[in-house]
Amino acid sequence: MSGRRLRHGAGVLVVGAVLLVLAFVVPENRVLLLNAFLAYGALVVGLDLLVGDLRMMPAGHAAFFGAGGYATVLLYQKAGLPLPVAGAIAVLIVAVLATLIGLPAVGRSSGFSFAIITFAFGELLIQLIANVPGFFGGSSGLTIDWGVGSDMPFDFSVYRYFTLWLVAVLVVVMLVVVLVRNSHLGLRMKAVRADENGTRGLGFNPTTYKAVAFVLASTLAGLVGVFWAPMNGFISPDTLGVNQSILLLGMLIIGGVGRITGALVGVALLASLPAIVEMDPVLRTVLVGALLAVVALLQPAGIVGGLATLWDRARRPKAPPPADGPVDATPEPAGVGR
Amino acid sequence: MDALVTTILLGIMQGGLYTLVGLGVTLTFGVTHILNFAHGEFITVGAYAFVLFAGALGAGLALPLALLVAGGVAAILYVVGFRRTIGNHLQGLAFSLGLLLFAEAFFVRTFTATPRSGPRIEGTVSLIGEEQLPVGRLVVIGVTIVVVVVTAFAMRRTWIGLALRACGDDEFAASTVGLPARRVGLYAFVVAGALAAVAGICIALVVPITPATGLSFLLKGFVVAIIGGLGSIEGTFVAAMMLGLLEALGTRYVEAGLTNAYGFVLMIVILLVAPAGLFNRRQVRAG
Repeated sequence: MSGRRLRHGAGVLVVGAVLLVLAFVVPENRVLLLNAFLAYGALVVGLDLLVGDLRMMPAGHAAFFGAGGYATVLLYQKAGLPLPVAGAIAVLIVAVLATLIGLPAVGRSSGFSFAIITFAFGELLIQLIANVPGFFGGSSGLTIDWGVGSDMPFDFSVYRYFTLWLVAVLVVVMLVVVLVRNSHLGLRMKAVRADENGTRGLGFNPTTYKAVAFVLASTLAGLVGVFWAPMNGFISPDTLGVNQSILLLGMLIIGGVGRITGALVGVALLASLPAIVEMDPVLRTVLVGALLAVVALLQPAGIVGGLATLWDRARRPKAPPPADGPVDATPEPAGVGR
Repeated sequence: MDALVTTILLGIMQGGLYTLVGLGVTLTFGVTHILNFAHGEFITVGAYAFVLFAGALGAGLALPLALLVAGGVAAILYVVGFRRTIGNHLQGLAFSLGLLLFAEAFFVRTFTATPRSGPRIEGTVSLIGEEQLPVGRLVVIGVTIVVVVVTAFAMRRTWIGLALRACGDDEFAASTVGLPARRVGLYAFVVAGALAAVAGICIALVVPITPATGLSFLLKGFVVAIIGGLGSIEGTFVAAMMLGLLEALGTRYVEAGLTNAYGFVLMIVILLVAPAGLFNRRQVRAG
């Protein structure tokens, strides 16, 4: 167990190092693209804690991302706090918000009604922002005029400066996910996913673990928002919307749930590639939707999950699976389990 | 007093439209246990088909054609996709979310986001006192009442209605008497698609439609289906009327900007008090 933890942790650090080098060498006109990859990557990897580990489908994940961004901007702009302090408080605010929403949502609903209720909370947040234009900026959004920009370390542009922070955020999110998956908490989450009532019989309350995962994943989404909003210089209710949340779910499912590589492949394929070839955003949504539907039908384990199954099959050509082998040696397709 | 009556009538109209959408959601869920996020797109398909056919062939021919198109789309999607996702919540949800993204963006690309209006029923009547009521809205109320009554009757008295209810109650028991759930699921999707198309046509009769029309009504359809207790027809009707009246009264007398918030607050409160919904006899939770 601890060997796996070390291996996965080392993998995360290698990915982080590569991204850090990229942050220095990427040409100036591609910096925003890299930032988008990092932010989406952190969001989707965090979301996987709910979808992959617990088979919970929140349809309002982007709301917490937006809440983190809005809280940072408002604290910085209206309360005059310095940006790091504003960000730290914003993360706390998102954690409290996630707890307030998560406890009733997780405890009182499951499956579809969980998807709908998280979705409803996200929509309520948008209504709140749109109806209090004086404070939240209304539906046209908030622009951030920041004091930073002139003297950045390493002579970086502002965008590239935030790239460093976003790399750090992505590494933190990946480390958290790796640590959770290889801990007792992760084992219990696995048990909850496999059989909720059985877990209850063992003396663990499934609701507790679901709530912990929900608050954790939502707070991580808020953390991404804290760095994204000042980097982007603008935030609007669109960033919180249901389309954004579905896009996140789509990237995760197409890439493959339950794996960090799956999440990152999904983001690279659906967020970065269309941006590189400068695809029309509406056309991109058409393609993402069609791809999501097709992948959900043909390969519920996602692209990386499908490749892993092929790889397993190629490595062990005709040998039947060992009867007493470790249970988690074969990747479980998303189709299995409830 | 007059204002109150008008508001209540508007609420009933909205409630009727929500019933049509919610009935489709609840029917497909009852049989196939799929909460179809793409159901709203059947509304959009129906509405656009009606508007386009009405422009080309006249409203009389457009009506059956729109029903046919929406029912056909629903049937194809079921046979190609949803039939395979039965028994796997996550897969069905992912498939329908993909369809939703695809369809909405596809409609924006094909028909642009500018609102389109179809054949409108013009004119107003004054029922009581001074308040003027548009005839179109009264027609919509009449149509929805007729369709809901016919559907409720068909669910009790016809063979298909019996099959749908049997599979919703107990899939295994139904299969032992010769009702394959997968085939009955097809009936559920066709009926749901046709009901959604009726809703779409009614919407096109009173307001201009956009590619986002379906999604906004779908959300209300979900709300009423869940409040009513998924799988329950009476529950859907009661919840839809509650929501329609709440929205109409709230918009008129409290705050117009919060129209969409009322439904969500109502749903959250009811789910906290009764997680299975109001009319769910078997105490089965959604999902």
